[in-house]
Amino acid sequence: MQTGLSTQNAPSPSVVIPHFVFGALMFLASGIVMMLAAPSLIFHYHLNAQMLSLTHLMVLGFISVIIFGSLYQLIPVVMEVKLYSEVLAKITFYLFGVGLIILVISFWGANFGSGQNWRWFEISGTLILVAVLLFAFNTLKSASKSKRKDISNLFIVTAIIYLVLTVSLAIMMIINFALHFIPVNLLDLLKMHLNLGLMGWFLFLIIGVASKLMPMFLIIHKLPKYLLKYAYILLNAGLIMMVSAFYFYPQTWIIGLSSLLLFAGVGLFLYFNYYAFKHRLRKKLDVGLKLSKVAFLLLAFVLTLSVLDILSPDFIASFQYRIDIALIMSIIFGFLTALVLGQTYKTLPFIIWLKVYKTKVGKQKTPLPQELYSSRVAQWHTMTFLIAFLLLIVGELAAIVWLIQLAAAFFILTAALYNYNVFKIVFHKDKLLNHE
Amino acid sequence: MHHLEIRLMKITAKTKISAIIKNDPHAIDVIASINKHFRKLKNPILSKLLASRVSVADAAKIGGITTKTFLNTLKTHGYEVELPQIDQEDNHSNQHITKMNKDNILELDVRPILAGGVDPFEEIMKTLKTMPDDQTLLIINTFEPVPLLNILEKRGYEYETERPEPGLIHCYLHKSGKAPIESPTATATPPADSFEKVENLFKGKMKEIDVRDMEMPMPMVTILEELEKLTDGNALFVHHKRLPQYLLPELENRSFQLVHKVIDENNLNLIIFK
Repeated sequence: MQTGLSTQNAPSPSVVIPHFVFGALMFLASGIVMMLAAPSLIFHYHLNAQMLSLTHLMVLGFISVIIFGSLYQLIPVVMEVKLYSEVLAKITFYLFGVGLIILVISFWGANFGSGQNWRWFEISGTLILVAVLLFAFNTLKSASKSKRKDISNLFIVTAIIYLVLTVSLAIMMIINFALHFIPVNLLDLLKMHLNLGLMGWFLFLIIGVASKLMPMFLIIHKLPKYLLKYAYILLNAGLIMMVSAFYFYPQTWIIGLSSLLLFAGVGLFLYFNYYAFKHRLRKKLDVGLKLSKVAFLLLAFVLTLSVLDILSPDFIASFQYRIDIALIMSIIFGFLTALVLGQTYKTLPFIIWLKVYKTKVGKQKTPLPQELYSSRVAQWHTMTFLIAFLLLIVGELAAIVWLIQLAAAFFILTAALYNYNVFKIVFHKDKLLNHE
Repeated sequence: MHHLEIRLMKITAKTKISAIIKNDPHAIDVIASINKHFRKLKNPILSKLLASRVSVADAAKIGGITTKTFLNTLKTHGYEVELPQIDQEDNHSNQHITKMNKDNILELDVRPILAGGVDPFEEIMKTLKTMPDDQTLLIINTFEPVPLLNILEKRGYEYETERPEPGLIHCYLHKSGKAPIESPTATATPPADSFEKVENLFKGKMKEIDVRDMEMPMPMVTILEELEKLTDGNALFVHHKRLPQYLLPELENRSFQLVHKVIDENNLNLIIFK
């Protein structure tokens, strides 16, 4: 069987690399913002300006930007298509970056009272929405040309649709502050936005990407992919039910039921990962995979925390709101951060390695991608990350500001070491030039 | 030192011009000196446009000389070349079409487009797409657009070229009525049943490797290392998990060809050869 081959699917490195550099810098900025925001991070009200500033900087500036860059690289490879437009990808990057920075500054200074000026929210929100629509158009248009339709690709495509919904809802909320046209209370709208973003965008995306990359990185020949089909149905049903409930019928029982579906879906995904891990041929894990393993252990932790949060037994009822915050923090600063840190080491070195050495491979002894960064520095920031995470969660649960500040210091240290490696990789120079 | 190493690369009729230039930028001057058609290569835009698509045999045809003459010129400048055993000067452009109906003609002069430094490929494809099946397209150019014609032939077009005067090419194109033999996206691969053909061709002359249990990027590294060791007339048979997306462009750069056969979801056979 021979099908048509396009021999040049991978995008130009100039599309992908800026995402990693910007993302790494925004992670460092997040550490600093956490330090400054620490005194506000123990207060639980829904429009906590400093908290919103920090979380949006993390999820958009660090996590989503690196995901965008990785998807531009990954979609052509796993779907065997060319990226629809590289120019569009570059435009998207700048619109998104500028929009994000304005948004984060706007949140920081906001009071959300009657005197609140919404102008900068409207501008930044529009920039981000346009960027996300362009991103979705570019990636979905590429995906539509693919002949490979499997469950992993379906998860990725669905995630992108949820991202568009998440950002569209945010824009509607901004407009609603002025016009009050949505007949739903603000808290329920925020919950819709939060669930669409964390579950719809991040979780679906991670399942899609992980199920593609795991066999490559861990070397596994047969995976129980049918489990993911059930997970797909459960997660979609749970998420759509929950989000609709917040809008139309915010009753505890239906929220509980949809949570059960979501738990079952996440559980299946965790089991899938556990299976992959047990059956891998590659036994020794490099630092990128160790961080990814940490991420999935943290996901199990998140799952436990959310069960507690929803069941709300008597012994925690008195500090329920602290669990709410700890839960969101452990998803963003725990699970997602560990995964992005780890996957950076599996993606970025390879892109640069390919760019620098592809014409020399086989002809000369070239360095390997993992020799482009300092593994020791990566080990260190795995440690500092875990310390930072632990301090943050304890700080949030116990509502102790100095613990959160200490956590911020460790996040800054983590980010500084991570940036060191990212820049070391990006500025890697051909080691073989002196042979000529 | 630099120069000596470069010239060890063996140039055959199938070698891409881009590969020659990539290995030794001085080669542009040598090729440009062959005759005035090749001076176009010194224009950086045209060079980028043409060199990547054109093999030595194609280039010779564009310049209106034989492959042998082309290779001999390179040889006199110290490049190692492999002359074709039989002089396979393919005049197939004029061979397989005897009479083409030239009543209903649409003319497209691509010389101004090329002069502006733009690849006329898109323009030609656009014109062909909108042209009714019973019409014939006349492309006016300064050289025979061999790479384009090769692609169009696979997509079910017939062509005929004329040289009304030196330096001027008239190329007539129309739908042949035969089904295209390849999918429209195919540019670098031989036609459908060729895996078995290639497999038979290299029977007993293939080295077999299995890269399925290797971690990225070791499959790519291993394959390219093995290809460097491969002697002429031999091929490499690879057990792979999927179609190696990053390897494909590099194979093309190194003038290798590839056929593949899907065994199952996690197993794919590749044969790589020159």
